[in-house]
Amino acid sequence: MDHPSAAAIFNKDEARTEWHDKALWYVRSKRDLSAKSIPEWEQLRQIASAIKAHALSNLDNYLVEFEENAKKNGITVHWAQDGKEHNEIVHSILKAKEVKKLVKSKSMLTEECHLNPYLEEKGIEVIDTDLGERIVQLSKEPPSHIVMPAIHKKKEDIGQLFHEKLGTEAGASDPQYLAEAARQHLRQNFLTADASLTGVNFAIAETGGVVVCTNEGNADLGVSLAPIHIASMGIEKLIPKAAHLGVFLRLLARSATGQPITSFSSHFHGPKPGSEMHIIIVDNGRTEQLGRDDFRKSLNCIRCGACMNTCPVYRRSGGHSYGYTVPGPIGSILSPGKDLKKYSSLPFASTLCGSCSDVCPVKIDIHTQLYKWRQIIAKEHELPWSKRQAMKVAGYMFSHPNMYRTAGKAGRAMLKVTPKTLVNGPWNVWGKSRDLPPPPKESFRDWYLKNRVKK
Amino acid sequence: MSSRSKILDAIKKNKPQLSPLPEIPEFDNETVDKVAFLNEVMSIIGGVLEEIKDMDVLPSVVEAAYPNKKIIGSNIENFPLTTLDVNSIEDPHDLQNLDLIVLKGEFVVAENGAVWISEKDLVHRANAYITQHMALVVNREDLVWNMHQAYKRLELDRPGYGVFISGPSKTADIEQSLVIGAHGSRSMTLFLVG
Ligand code: SF4
Repeated sequence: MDHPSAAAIFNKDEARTEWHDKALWYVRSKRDLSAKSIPEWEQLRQIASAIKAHALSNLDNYLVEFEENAKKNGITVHWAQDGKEHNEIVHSILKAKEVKKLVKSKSMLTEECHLNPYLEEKGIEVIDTDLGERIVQLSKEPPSHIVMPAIHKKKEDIGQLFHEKLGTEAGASDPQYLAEAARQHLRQNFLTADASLTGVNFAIAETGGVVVCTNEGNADLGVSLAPIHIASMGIEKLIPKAAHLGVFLRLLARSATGQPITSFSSHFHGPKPGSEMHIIIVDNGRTEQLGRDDFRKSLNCIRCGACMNTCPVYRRSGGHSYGYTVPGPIGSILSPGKDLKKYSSLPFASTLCGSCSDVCPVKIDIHTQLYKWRQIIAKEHELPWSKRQAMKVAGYMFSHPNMYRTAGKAGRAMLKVTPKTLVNGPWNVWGKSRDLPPPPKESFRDWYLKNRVKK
Repeated sequence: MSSRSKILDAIKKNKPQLSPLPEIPEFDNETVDKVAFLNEVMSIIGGVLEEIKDMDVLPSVVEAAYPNKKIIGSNIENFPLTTLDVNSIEDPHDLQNLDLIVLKGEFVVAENGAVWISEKDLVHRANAYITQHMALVVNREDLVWNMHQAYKRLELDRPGYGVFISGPSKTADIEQSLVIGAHGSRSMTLFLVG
């Protein structure tokens, strides 16, 4: 399904759309307050962006350095070209120790690789332990946001879900009560798991370790109890030095939720005594993206989610409408590189307002890349029919100035007298929950001729 | 060819020209009252800051902050409130009934309330996560302003584990409502000594 159709389904429930919009805007406002409290914020973004650019420009050497140091720390390092190989490696590690239950903390990469269904098919129980992830896992949905996986759900939905799955009281929807129920349920799983898997926020070449950031402490509770720790990371997580963490940890949580830092920023440089630690380094299309001059910078992403929270389209269409593991503006520039045809509607799921680029802590030119993907999609004829027709008309108009002027005049006149129901008919997706501004009396050209040319 | 060499080769082929690595200024703030700032931050992150004059008073202030806790562990030698010797435990699962852990941390960062504790001070990594409540203890002279200064103090290039802990465990995954005590500590008090 393309984005407009999926968004239309989401928009059917107007009150919920409104609520979703506000919930995310609230997070965006917290981010603003937090960012403004740091005088050097813009400088930090600049530095972060430059560190990422540098790391990408020397990535092969940093990966080798990282591997060497990780091995010295007693970590086993694996390499996977794609999701399938990643899943097979995870399975082989678990199989060797006859693991029955794996506890997992948040990892968009394992979502991308579809690890859970793969392992479940092999008879391994997988428990997502981040509360939001557990909620979507129990309701058999993918996450709708990379930081707040269950942001699309209301507390009443979660109350009902927990009533069915965890036996909480019927009708109970108090977040405190529900979170406590999840705590008890997950603690049992932490205590009985025989392996844990975490994502990676940053991997440090210089020290051969990885950093994982959580608020709940779920990654650490899993790792500190189970005898096996597997950390899965994309190749782009590499940063050269530990000192660079100072920059990224200052930016990450502030951009994500407005917190000064997450509750736990854990630095793993080897297994705990008597345990084993594995790191799986995954490509899965990233080296290809590295080769695309226009889109390379998307690999800077530190998955803070700020571009989603600020995006007027994401806020009003929900994460699921994108149909890709990473939704929102960043997902819309990553996904076409994976499958241009399948995701051809995503670069159009944007107003190109540029707010995503403004908030991005690593200065990815997201809206420019959206625009560039549009051009590629148009060239490769992956445009939807209605857009193609509109483009043809627009193209004709722009190459015939007289006609453009006449049409403009007619349009302004028409808008004044046409009833709103006709302007905002079902064919005008832009008219959904939105009114057109009143048409101006004269065109910019007329105004310019009158006021400027004469002088 | 192994996946390793295929990936490395693809990077070599596709990577752009080497770009320079930027310098990171320290961004120190000499005028800020670090303790006052830390106090404010602690309330934002869901923790509590208590200033105490020396280590001698620690047992009584911990007791006052956390009355009636049964199973108490600590990394402080001969800490009088200790009822569970975490050093004697081999399997971290045996820490599951811990009510309170009292941990001496290395230093604290004023801008975000993050206390650094490394593996040797944690005794067990699980200590920081399996406990119901957490009290952290840091010397006043070990208060730095920001994360850049924090990393200057750190030596990470040795095997093991270390963590910045900023407040108790928390979640806002249900409708953005903040709930303190997600999986780990339900409360956190930082005692600043000296
Ligand atoms: S693209 Fe930028 S704003 Fe969006 S998630 Fe990534 S780092 Fe955050």
